[in-house]
Amino acid sequence: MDENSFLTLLQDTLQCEEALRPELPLADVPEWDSLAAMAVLALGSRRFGRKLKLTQLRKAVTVGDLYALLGTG
Amino acid sequence: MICMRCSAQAESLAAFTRENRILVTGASSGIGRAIALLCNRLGATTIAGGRSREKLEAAKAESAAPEHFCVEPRDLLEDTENLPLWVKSLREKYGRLSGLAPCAGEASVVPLREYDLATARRCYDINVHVPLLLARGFADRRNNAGAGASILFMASAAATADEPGLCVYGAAKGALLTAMRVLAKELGPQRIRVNALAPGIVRTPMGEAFLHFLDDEAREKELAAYPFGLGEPEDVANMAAFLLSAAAKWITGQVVVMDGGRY
Repeated sequence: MDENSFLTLLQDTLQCEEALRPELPLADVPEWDSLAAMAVLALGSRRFGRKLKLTQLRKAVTVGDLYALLGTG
Repeated sequence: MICMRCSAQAESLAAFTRENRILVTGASSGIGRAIALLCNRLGATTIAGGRSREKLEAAKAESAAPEHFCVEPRDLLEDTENLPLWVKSLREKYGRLSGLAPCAGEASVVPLREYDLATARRCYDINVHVPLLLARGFADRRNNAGAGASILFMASAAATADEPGLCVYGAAKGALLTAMRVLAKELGPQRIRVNALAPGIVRTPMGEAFLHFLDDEAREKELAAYPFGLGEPEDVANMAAFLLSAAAKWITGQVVVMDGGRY
């Protein structure tokens, strides 16, 4: 999936009003909380067939890191 | 002597403003219709969903404020997966929603020996998947009014009555109640309240359909088991309006059984 499509999908999953940018730190995304992380794990499994663990997700610092984990390849 | 404080509270009980947009599905008949009409009368903008445009228009014609009674025909069993997008489209059309009451339902009385997958799936679709997908759309931060928004699911006394013949319908409503309690916790941080009503038999087309499943003797026995008689749609609507309103701002994760003393 290309980066822009991923960002749109992630924006929907996190229910963000603002568009997301790859360099945006997750710490600066108010909607990024434990429930959002749970939703991203479910998204990864459903849309990308990737069974990630919460520990892997915790290492993500920016929105771009989530793309690297889920949307590439 | 009238206590001024109590009097003021009573006046504010279940009051809405037109900024309170409440989506009620199953609003073309029965309990959904009664809730849509009552919320509209109490000051809310009602967005009434249902299969029949004709019946929704008839409800609108009866409403206290037809200009704030919005008719949105939709068969919830068609394109069900995209119900969250439908809720989004309603938000775009009318503004952020403050209440959701998914009332469309379907009762089926099926003893185990007649259990079949098609019937069970349809029952779970309309009684579990549809309300939860509507809730998913409603709970999207971009679609609701934020703190104070409220979801009210319509379960059934069948969820806990454990009566023969209700292994499909009762179990589906039981699943909805479990989901309600989970969502109350999931959505609590957003200050969205989630509750449910569990009515016994109410004088609605669905209630009548349920009674028709019973033979004469069983029907008489069932009717006699309601010391306060069968419910009226308005009985349920009164409690629904309260739980959807700010008067219930401290109540979440609860189910209110309304069965006229049946169980």
